[in-house]
Amino acid sequence: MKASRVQRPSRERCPEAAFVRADTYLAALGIRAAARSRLIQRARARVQGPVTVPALIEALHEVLADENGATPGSGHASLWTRLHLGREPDALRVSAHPLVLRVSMAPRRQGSRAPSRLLRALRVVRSREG
Amino acid sequence: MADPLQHWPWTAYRRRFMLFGLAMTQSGIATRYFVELLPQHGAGPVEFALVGLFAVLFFWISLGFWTAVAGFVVGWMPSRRYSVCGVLDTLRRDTAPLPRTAIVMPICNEDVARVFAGLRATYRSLRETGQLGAFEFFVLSDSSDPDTWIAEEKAWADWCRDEDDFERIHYRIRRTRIKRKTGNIADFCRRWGAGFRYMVVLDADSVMAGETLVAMVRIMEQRRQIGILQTAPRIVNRKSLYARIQQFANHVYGNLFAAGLSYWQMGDGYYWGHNAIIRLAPFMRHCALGRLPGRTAMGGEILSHDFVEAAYMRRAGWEVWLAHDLPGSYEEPPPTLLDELKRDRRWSQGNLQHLRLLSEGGLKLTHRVMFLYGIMAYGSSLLWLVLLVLGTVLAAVQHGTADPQYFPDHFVLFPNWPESWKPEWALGLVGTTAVVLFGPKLLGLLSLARGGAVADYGGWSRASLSVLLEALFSALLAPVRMLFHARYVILTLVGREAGWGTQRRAEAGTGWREALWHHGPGSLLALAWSAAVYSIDPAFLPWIAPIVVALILAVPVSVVSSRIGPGAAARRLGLFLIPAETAPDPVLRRLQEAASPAAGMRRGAAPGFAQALADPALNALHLSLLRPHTRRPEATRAALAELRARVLAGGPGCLSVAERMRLLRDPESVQRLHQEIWSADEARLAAWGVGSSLPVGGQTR
Repeated sequence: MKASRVQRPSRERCPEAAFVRADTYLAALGIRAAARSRLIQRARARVQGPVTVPALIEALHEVLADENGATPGSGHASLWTRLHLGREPDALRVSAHPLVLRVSMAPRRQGSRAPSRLLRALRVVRSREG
Repeated sequence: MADPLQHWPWTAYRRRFMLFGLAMTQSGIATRYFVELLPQHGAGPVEFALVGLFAVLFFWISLGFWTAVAGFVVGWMPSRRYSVCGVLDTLRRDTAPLPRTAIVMPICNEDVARVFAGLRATYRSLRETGQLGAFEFFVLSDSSDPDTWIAEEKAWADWCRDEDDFERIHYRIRRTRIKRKTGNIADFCRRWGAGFRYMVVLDADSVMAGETLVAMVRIMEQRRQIGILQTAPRIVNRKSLYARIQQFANHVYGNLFAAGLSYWQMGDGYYWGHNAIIRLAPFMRHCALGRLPGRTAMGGEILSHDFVEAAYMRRAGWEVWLAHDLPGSYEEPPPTLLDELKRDRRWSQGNLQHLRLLSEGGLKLTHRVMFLYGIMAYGSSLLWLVLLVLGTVLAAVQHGTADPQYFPDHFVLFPNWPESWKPEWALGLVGTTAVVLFGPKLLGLLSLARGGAVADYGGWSRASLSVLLEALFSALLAPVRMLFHARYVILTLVGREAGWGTQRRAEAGTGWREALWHHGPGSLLALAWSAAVYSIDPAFLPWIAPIVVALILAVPVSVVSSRIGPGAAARRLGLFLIPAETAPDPVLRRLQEAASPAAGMRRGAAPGFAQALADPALNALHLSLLRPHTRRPEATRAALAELRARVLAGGPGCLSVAERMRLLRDPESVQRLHQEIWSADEARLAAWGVGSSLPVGGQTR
């Protein structure tokens, strides 16, 4: 995916390599050119000192986390799942693996005090087998 | 009207009595022939053992023969009075809402594209019935390979997105993979079992028509005493010559055996582990499996769990039926002979473990007999081998004392005239054995006349030729299987465990070296045996020729039959055709579409560990599916940090499988590595596949 369609910020404000890397990154997340440019501008503004690739990428992740209400570092995940799968990461996790929802509704402690019938049956079989 | 199935146990007793009586009578007559043929008519230890082995083996094949005959007769009977599917005609008009049913597919390092193609086909077929709302899909992964894990996640997300259905398609991977497939299913039962009335278990290569699934649920709703309803899956979709012949045999004769089994088992039937519907509450209550005591191959986890689960279900009073006449249930056969034999190693150990369950309290006699039936599926090979060895020993002994003794040491009035060998007895025995072995094949062919089904098999001439060639092929394979199975039984009995490798399902073919490695010793043994027999008595050689020739030819037969080319050539000639090739079920057409290379191209190349860390979209997906850790010990954090440093310095290939799995399970590592990779210089970034090939993520929004 090329970064050429995006209107690039001036070289003084964002060195070429860092800009291309950030833009490629956002393009890989499937974000439109205009939004990519805006996000990179915001990330650039956060960088204190020279704009290097690591500094800009780190700032970009902070911006993504801020904008998407996710825990630090997982802003891109939140953005991508919302954008492409139409749901929040938590909802996705529950969808893939409904246990998460059920566990939060029924605390594990309760489960351990009252073992499932399967577990009880398992114990019976074990005791039968000596 | 009273349900005829209410009193099925009495009918079943009568049928079993008749079937076992016929098999025993036939075996008795054949054994009598055999005894007459022996030089001392069964006297002496070697001959006595030979007679015993012959009787057992003949009874075993005779039981199969009469089961096929029963299946043939059942097929021609117009009444479905005692068929579990007999109620279907009235149920088709049933519009009552269906109860919640989970369709579960336990997988472990399988071909991800094929797994999800099968599920997609089943899902679409179910949607067309208008009953999709009652079903939910669970992909239950036990995969231990990091690349497979990531590919499964992506395939799941693609499927959900394509169908716009995140609500009824679920994917979970187990962190602790205890007790293999049974543990995987038990884990499902513990977590979600209470939310569903039924569970349909699919294998990784299963596909089922929506109508069949709906029919199964309706039958279970109608017959509330059924605990497990097993379908008879048809094997389809393979292209190698070996697999196409197996598919043909399964379609033409498998029908008969399934109908015959259902005829005498009735509600005491088998569960084959997949393509079956299970009533969850009693399954969870009664079918939990413990470990067998001991650590050898005969102990530990029960490998052939399905037979045992059926026996436990029946012990608890629930019925287990085989719906042999329910169409729309499919699976795929192993692509090559060696793949089948590798699978048999595991199955033989599992079936032999049942020896330890034969005396378990409360089991129905029928299920104990079925345990024996399963044991004999492999044990018979060892018995056959011993029979052949003893036969050779007898020939050698006989040869040593071949000169007749007309005048013994003591006084006799008349000389001892040697008893002449009666060729008519030998021919009678060979003829009877041939009828028992090949009769079911002929009956299978005749059964194609029903409803004009023969057209789907290429017409009478091609179907007949296919049966003939299949019989020849199975005769060539029988000694090879015998040798392998006998070895498996011995290995299991001496405590050597079978591995639990993932079954190879791709049609890669068998290489000459691989075939030589596996079949070479058997061929050498056959050559040595032939030489020994020739030196003892050349006249005995023709009697063992069918066995030794098959063993000597095992390498080329195994290699050539594993190839797709001969399979395709046979298809062009109209040989070994099955309905799935000539007039495929819509669900199979959908499977082919979903598994086609074009569909694969649309979904992109299968991603793996490196992409999960480098590709923003895949990283996002993987991160979203991980459960966040709340607390971790300092030592764990330090170990993970060390792994991260190593992988960043050495690239994705420098870690072991276990280390890569460990990193992929840790959300913090997945986040940090992703950020570090994108912060690295161009050369290091390229090592992670980031560059011209990236991105593999979603479309631009």
